[in-house]
Amino acid sequence: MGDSDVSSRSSDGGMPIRVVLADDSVLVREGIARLLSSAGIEVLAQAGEVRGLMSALEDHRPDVAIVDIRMPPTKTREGIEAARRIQESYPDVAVLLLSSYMEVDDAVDLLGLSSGSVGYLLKDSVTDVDEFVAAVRRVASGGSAVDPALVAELVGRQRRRDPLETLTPREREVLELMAHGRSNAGIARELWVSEGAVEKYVRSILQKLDIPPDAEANRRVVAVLTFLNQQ
Amino acid sequence: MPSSIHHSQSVAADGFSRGAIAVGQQIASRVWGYWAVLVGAVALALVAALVPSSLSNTPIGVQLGNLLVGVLFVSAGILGIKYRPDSPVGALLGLAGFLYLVGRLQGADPPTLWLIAVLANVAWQGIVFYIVFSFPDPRLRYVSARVIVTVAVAYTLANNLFGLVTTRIRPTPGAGANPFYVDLDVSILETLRVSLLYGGGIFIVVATGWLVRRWLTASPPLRRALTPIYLATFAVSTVALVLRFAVGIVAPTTDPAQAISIGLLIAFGLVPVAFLIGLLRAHMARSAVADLVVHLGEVPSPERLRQSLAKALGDPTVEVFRWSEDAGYIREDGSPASLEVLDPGRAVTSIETPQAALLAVLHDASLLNDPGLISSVVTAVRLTLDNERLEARVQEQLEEVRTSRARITAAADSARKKIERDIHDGSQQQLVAAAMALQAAADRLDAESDVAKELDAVRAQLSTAIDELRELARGIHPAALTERGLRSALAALARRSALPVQLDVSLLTERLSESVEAAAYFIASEALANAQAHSNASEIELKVHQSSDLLTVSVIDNGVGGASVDTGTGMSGMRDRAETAGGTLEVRSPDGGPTDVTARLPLG
Repeated sequence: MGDSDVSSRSSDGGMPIRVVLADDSVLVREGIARLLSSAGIEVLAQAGEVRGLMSALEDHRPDVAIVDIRMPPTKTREGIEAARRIQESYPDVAVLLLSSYMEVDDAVDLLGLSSGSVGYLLKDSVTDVDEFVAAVRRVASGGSAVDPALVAELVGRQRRRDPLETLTPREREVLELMAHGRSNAGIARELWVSEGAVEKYVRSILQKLDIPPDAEANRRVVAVLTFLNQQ
Repeated sequence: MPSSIHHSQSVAADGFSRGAIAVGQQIASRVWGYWAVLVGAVALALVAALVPSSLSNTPIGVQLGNLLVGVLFVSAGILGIKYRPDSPVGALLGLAGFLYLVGRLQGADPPTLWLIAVLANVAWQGIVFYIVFSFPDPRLRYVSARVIVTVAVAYTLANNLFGLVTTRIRPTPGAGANPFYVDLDVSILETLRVSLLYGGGIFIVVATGWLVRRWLTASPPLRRALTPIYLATFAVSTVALVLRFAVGIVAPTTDPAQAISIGLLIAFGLVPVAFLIGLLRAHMARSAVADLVVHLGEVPSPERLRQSLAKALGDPTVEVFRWSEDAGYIREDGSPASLEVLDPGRAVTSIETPQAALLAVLHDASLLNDPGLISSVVTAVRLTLDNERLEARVQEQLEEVRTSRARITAAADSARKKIERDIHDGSQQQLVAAAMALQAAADRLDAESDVAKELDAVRAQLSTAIDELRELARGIHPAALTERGLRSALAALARRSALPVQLDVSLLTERLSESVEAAAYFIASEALANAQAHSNASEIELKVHQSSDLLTVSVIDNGVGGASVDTGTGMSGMRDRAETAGGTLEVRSPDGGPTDVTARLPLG
């Protein structure tokens, strides 16, 4: 999937995207930094723990904070807590969380934090550079990014009476892209159809699944994920 | 009389019950034996009545009375053996009865029979002396009693032989001269007669004194058993004494002498009856011990124990000292108790097992005269208290095993958790970094070059490895369980199930203790895996219900059923897991289904 949503701050002549990076593994941190730099994204600062991250945010006011969920001292959910604080203190800063393992509830919590731009990716996804950079760009431009593996798990879940069965294969594709956090324009580009066609699909999907229509892309992601995560 | 104040008892606990079982097995075969013995006694009595003897002179009533006394002895003996098989008294009474009947053949023809009768007469009286002075023990315990019985037998022998050798003509009608007759000088004869007469009187006074003293120092229950025996003995000796002196005054054939000999006969008849009563009363004192065992059945309070012991021992002044590992023997109020007894009227019996001291009982010293009672009580109390002690120890060990099992499980859980973290924080990071380095290397190459393509393939392999590693970590211990709790972990489990899982965790309201969450998770995980692997179900229901004190986890599938805890290690592993958390696992899986695996885990 080589596309990326067009951003006002993307490399097409505008300012480069500016990020700060927090991960307690130096190896991974450096790897990501190099990877982002070579993709034309400016890494302003790196931090090994939350305090360093917060002061880097204060100093640099980046576009995106890329934050590992597991950081010292307990190496459990520090990143989630940090994301909450960032959303409170710096609502303009997009947060992209990197998780060592897949936790749907974390993703839903994070996306529900605010209408701000957030992303939830498995840490492994950084190895697919194009996908990763696209996600960074998406959140930097105010969109959302949800790891495809997580969406796949939600969509692929066995259900007794599967409401997804009512969707056409095309609608299903659109639904998955919605869950990834794509905008209608992004979906249109991905599927080589017009944006108007995507809008039609989206309306149909939301109607079939009984999800309240919401033009705002981030809230729509949350609604779709919540729906998929329902028991 | 024993003078020891300290008194230790150690009776083999099993000796008691083994004896009781053996007795029980013999009772059925004994019933016929009793009848045979009784018939034999009656036959002997008839023979004695038919054989011409000195009795033939006496009135028929006295004759019959004599035979009746013999049969009475035998009957009392049979009852004694039947109800007190542990005591030799019954057998001795029966033997005395036969000897009594044989003894009625005095003066009989041939003279040898007479001699046998005289010796039998001595023998039955000797047996009676033995019983009186040994009761309730099976043996003569006191030296004084042995002396008295020896003297009594010697005296009786002398008295009877004197009668035998001084009778010139056999008293049996139609019989000839007495071949045992010894022609003694009149003065010697008179000296012997007076010596025997007064010697007998003195002996009776001494023996009576001994018995009175024994009665006075006896424990209350023992006293109750001794009373009828001693009363009968006094009756016989009094009548005999009167008879002895009366025979010296009045002619044997006169009415007063007849009356006295009838009195003696009645007194003799009383002896077996009284002995039997005494024997059964001693048995009843043992029954009080049986009551004690019943009362002690539950773990007794100190006061209850004291009361039960007081009742069983017939001693209301009993004091009980319990053994404490720290303080030695202590009183009911916890103050230390000394086993040194200063009051000679008191004695201490300590109750102990080879492993442990249990109890000391301060009681009336007179109870030492009834060692049978003491040993029964000691055995009863020891069995009860030892049982209590052992039970407490078993409970303690069980508790230890429970806590160690919980510890082992907790250790295994935390080891799993550590492995999971090590994978995520260590290997996984390394692999991710390696993949990124590969990517960076590939970026420097022409994307279409062979090396770049190879690097990309390696990167893809690494990516797969990372995915597999993540799955492995999740299987070992899902991070969500620790970090987000049971609810999230179960939701993930349900999401990833190959069969549709209807998840109901709405009644799971809060985070629970780590051990309960781990138990619930791994049980649910195993039950889901079982259902997917074996049940042939089309859907599974996973329900979690949390109440104030219980977490219930149910996994219900609509499959073929037939699952059991006993088949397969998965189920028993689940049960172990539930029990380790202090809970239970119930598997209901009739053939044809559905299968319901429900774990109930206590909270808090």
